[in-house]
Amino acid sequence: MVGFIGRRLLQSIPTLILISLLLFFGMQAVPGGPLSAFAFRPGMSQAARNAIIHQWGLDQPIYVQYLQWVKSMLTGTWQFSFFMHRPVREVILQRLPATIILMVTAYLIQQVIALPAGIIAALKRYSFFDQAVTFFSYVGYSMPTFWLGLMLLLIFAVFIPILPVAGIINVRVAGAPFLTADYNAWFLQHPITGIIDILTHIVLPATTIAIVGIAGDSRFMRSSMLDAIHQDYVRTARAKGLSERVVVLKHALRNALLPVITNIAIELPLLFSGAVVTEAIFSWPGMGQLFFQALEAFDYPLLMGILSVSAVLIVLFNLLADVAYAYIDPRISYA
Amino acid sequence: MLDSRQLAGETLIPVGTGADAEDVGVKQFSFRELTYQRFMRHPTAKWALLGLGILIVACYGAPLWHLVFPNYIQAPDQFSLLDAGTGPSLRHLMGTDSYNGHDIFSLVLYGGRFSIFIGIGSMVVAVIIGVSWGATAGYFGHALDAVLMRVTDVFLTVPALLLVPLAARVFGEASPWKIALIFGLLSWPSISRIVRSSFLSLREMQFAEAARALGVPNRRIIFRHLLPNAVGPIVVAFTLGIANNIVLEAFVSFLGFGIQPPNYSWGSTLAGAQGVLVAGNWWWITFPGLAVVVTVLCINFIGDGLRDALDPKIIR
Repeated sequence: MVGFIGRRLLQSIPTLILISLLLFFGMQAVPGGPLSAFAFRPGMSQAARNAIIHQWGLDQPIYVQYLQWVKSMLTGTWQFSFFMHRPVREVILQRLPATIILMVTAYLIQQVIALPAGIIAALKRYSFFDQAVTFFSYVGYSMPTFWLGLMLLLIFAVFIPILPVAGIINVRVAGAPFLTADYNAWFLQHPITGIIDILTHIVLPATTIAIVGIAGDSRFMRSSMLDAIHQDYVRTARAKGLSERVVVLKHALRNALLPVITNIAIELPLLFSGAVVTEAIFSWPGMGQLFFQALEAFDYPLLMGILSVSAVLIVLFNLLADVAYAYIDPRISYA
Repeated sequence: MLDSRQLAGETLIPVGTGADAEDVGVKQFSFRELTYQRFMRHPTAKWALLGLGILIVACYGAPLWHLVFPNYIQAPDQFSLLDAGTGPSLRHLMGTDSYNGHDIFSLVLYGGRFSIFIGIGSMVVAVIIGVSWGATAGYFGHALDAVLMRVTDVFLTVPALLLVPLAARVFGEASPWKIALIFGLLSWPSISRIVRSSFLSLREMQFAEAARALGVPNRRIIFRHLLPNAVGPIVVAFTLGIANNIVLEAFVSFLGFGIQPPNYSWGSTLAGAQGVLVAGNWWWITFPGLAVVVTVLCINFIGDGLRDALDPKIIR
């Protein structure tokens, strides 16, 4: 098992090296170079320009810049953000928790609804419920996540104003922005108010991500369960005279869950994309929102940092999917 | 004719069973006919195809509708500030936007041209690259395969969702052609994976071996002998990719990194709508989004029908 994980980790190293090359040299293709962000300040003198170029090390040969970037990604501060004037690592790590909270919540909602819905739909095939699930999954699957988010906002924050429009916390209640030192102190003093505050804010974005996910997952669960129900061992179990409950839960469901669990792990990158989209809509202070802010400002080191972190995350997600697959299914060997 | 097809629907006989079939007097069907029949038997695919056809005609005919109904369909450069922010009415079927007073219905029609164009255009690019890439990797195998697939992995590892707006921003001044090209350059990897895996098994088949033994050049084996056998999954991936890219384009343009006024797509029609969401003008957000949903739904159904129709293993 450990050897398997180690081997997979080693395999992902060339991929990560290639990604770093793609990102770095792709960025060099920016018309006007990475400095173009500063071009928005017309009053700048040539001397000031040169000073900035020197300060950011942009006057060095390109391969030196690349190596320096890689070095700082591996050991250091991940370079400095052009506009936030802080180390990129600090900025990203401050934003990462919000994204993870959102992903985990959305994921829980998604599975709690999708799995039972898929199982019931399969057990009562062609019933009204089954048809409804199928219809919903087609529609949900075809909906742009960002538009769904906007529609939910419109309904639950504007027409029926019961939920907040944006953000992760109510700054007026907490007195400070999320995860600042003041906020953390406040949160420790008022944990219950703090959690309720986050919960009311997370409902809409998490539901948005979950709805699209439920559409895919319930369909997957349904077809997997249908496969299992028609297997010989299920017929055997029925023939033995086992109760329907035992047949369904112990014999069919346990086998049907195998591909579903693998699929869940495979879907993690999709979940990440969903989070990126919803963050942009709900001003959720996570990595996705940060990315679009950085894009707006053309904050080149920050963009590279975010892209690298998401690439590493996805490599890890894929690894997780493989491990889950090998771990759950006894027929798969680690070799 | 129709009767014989309906009859044959129950008793499909694979092509090539030759004389026996002739004797019984059952018509034989080519692959194309079989595919057509299976597609039409899918419960929703044919209606989805009809719906998509209507949508395409409606959108691409927009300049014509503008000439025929000048009071109801306005060109994107015609708007009146006096009408800004009014709800749906007979004059403005889907209301107007809150800033310029554009007629939303007209923008949906005009914008659909670019949205659909980008969806299809990008996947054409993706199929051209993905098929050549995947076929090369799968057919030649070994070291070449390993290198080519590593590159594919790289593209699959960085989320397209982040790369697309970045690329659109970097290559600035987004024309529909450029956006389609960018989307295509970022959506080929999944196609190349599909092609590679079918080529890995196809190249070991006897007909491929026979062709090689006869001295048929590699290029001809790839394009004439193997590729036609891999066409099913490619067509399905192509169709579903169109739906994907229409949604992605809507998001990117909505954020202002894709198509921008004076050009309109469904996404850029929505740009700015969130700012006035609180004012409650639901029509601005609802209708362009519905256009995306309906289009994507149709395309997904068609993809579903094609999957059933093109998979030779499913014989119903």
